[in-house]
Amino acid sequence: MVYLSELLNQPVRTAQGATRARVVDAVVALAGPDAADTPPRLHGLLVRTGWRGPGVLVPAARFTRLAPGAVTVDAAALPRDPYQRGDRELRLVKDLWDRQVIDMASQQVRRVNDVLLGPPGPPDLVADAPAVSTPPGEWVLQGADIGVRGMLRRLGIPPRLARRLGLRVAVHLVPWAQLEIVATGVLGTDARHLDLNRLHPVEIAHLTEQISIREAADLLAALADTRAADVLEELPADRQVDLLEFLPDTRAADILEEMDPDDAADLLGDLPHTRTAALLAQMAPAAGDPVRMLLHYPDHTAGGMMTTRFLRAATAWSAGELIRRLREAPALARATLVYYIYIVEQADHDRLVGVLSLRELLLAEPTTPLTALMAPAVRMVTAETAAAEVARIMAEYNLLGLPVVDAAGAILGVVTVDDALDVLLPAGWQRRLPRVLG
Amino acid sequence: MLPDPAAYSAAPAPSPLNRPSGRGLPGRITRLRRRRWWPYLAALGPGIIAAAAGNDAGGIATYASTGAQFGYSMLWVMVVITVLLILVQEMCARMGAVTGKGLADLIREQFGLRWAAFATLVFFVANTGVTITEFVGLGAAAELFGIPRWLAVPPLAVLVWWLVTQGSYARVEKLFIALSLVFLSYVVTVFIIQPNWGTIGHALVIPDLTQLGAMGYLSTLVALIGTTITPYMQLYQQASVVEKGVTPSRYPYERFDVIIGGLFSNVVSIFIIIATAATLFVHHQQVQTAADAAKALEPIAGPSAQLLFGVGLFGASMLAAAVLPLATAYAVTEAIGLERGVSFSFRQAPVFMGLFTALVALGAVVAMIPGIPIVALLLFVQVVNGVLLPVELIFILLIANNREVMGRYANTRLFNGVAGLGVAVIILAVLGMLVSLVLVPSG
Repeated sequence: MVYLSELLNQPVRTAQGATRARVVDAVVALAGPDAADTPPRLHGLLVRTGWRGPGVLVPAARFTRLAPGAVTVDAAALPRDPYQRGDRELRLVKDLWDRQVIDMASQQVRRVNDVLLGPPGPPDLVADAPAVSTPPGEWVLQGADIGVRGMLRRLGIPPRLARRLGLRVAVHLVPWAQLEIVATGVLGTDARHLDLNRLHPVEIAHLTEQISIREAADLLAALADTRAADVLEELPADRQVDLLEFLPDTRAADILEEMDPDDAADLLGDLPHTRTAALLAQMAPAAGDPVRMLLHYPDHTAGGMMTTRFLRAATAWSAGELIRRLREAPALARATLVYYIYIVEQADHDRLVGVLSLRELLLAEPTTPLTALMAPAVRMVTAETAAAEVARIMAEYNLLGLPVVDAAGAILGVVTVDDALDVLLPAGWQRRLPRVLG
Repeated sequence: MLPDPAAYSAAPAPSPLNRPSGRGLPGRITRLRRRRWWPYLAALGPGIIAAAAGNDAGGIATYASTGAQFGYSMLWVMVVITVLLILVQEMCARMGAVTGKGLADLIREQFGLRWAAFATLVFFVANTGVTITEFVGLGAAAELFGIPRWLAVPPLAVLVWWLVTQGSYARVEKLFIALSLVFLSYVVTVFIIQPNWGTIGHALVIPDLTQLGAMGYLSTLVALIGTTITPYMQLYQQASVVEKGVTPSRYPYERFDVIIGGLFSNVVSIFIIIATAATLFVHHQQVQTAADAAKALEPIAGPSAQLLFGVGLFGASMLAAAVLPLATAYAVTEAIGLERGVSFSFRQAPVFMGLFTALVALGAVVAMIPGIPIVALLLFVQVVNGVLLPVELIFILLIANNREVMGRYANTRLFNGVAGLGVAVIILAVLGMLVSLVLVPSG
């Protein structure tokens, strides 16, 4: 096996001796989507005689030997046609070297310093390995070297020198199965082979902070809708707005539908009005209508903080009936707050009459009517109530949720404790001066 | 959103994103629609501050000695340099907004590791020089107050190191910025002196090449370029644009900030040249020490001119003495991919902390060397900056022209014409200076 940096600029030798052509790049062919974890096969090397042009592709099978100082082909004549990128082909120097990749093992974004090519199978890092018996035609891209050693090799600095300076010079090889390219470029989704949905949203959000906004939006677009929504909700508001700018309307609408309505409303409210209108039009009514309703309320009021995903029950029901309905309906799976269930008078436009905790519901006899279980004196606020007042009430009465009602007492939404916390913590204006000192 | 732990396979780790969520923006009203001019004002912040703090020891020394040595004859040069500065900074800001990446990252991705290493090395050398000048400036300021250098510099160096690593630097930063605004008194001085505005206007607009052969003209020219268009400012500009998350749609406001910042800082520099020209040049006095530069403030401050100047010099030098070594340490460790951050200990981030400490120490040591010609040393560093500048400018021009990277925001032909011409002139000036140094060794 050999590192790409050891092959670059090497003269190509034939049986007659060295030609004037030099290696300028390597091309690998990505495996099909069904065999995504298979390392890409070495398709060939790009060699070039002059200074211009991409060079010609010499297929890997034509090489009898690939080693530093000994890049040998079997035939006398090299192909002539300039290289044109085929389907699922990746150029290593142009598209992978010095680019950012995600190392799934450490969930970090790193830069590729060097690339290891070799026979299929686990990468054998024993230096001075004997000459490989596998012909280059069957070689694959074994992994990317993201360590300092790779950097030194590229710069031509012997490792001994760096060791004296105290730098760790071990080879840090990330196998292909753990690698995800950040900037997919022309290849688009073909280049993605790992399931980023496996990562925790906070980890994905952290990854997006290490790459450019455009690439982060790309990454977001590649996730499943629900996961993308979770990731978006983990990011600061200004970052959310920036990312949304680079997402096409259909994709953005899909993700917004999965977000909590109050978070979606916050985000939409920060966008230019034309974009907000366009996205609302794209969203399904079931998701779009609550968001539209919430958008009417100013920030820093109960209406601006509340969510519409809460649990409500009719006064006529019994405990058993409520549990049965909760199991059947999707409301339970999507509710932001499950610890309180709000009892409403359905005949009177869902006027809020009481609240029941989940604990009480589970402990009750199934036949008990909810009106007997519920606490009728419900703390509630109107939609115009100031955010600070909302937070004060929740803190004083130790509430996880505070219902918001209209003038007639009908329930509109619920403010959850995490949003109240945001008010209480000293957030203030985020000053946008550059953080010169990191 | 209340987290539901069961939904995820692993227990959620504490969030590394310790920025408050969601509530910083002004409510449902969009930022862009609020008031037409508000975004412009909001974008103005960093430019003005960078401008006010941009006149450090090296800058003052260069501008003061230019005015004292050549009178008004180089004012037109400053106008040209200002235009170039704005063009260069605009390119960097545009690259940052379009790609969302820093300059070093872009160089690496477009040109490969070897060129990126070279660019980082150039940047490192230039920054080390400037770091040294800041500590030299601190020493000079101390001496204006009557404190010998060897007594004042070590505690100040330790103070700088300690403030930064303890994270309390941001609090005192404002104090130093306020102190450095003292240099605005050069502007006031000019108005007190009442120079001949006609002559000045003429000198600003009409190129005057009569002094071209004079000794020191070319090296002063290169020093002016190097101190006004510092290599540091390009990385900083692009990094701050990326940090703010400026996207192409919001870029016009950022461009405004770049232009205003460049104009503002260079207006102050031009006034420094006018002030020293009107006070020192007319009496054929050179600027060789800090006290000489302070003399130009006598019209406004009388006998306290030296104290006034010392206060400004102290503030400006303290500011830059912290920022420069830190930015350099960040740039180098980021290029290699090692741990970095002032909250790390020496064992956790050895290269970063080691580099930062070494740069501060080096600056302090050089500043204490007895008998160094202060102004000459400061000028020398600016000349080195000027010589190294074309390297960075060529990288910037190449990337800003790359359609694959910049899309429809790549340089227009007109922009390239002007910027390319400017870079060519800079290279000519540098070459001319180097050639003249070889031919006339005493140059």
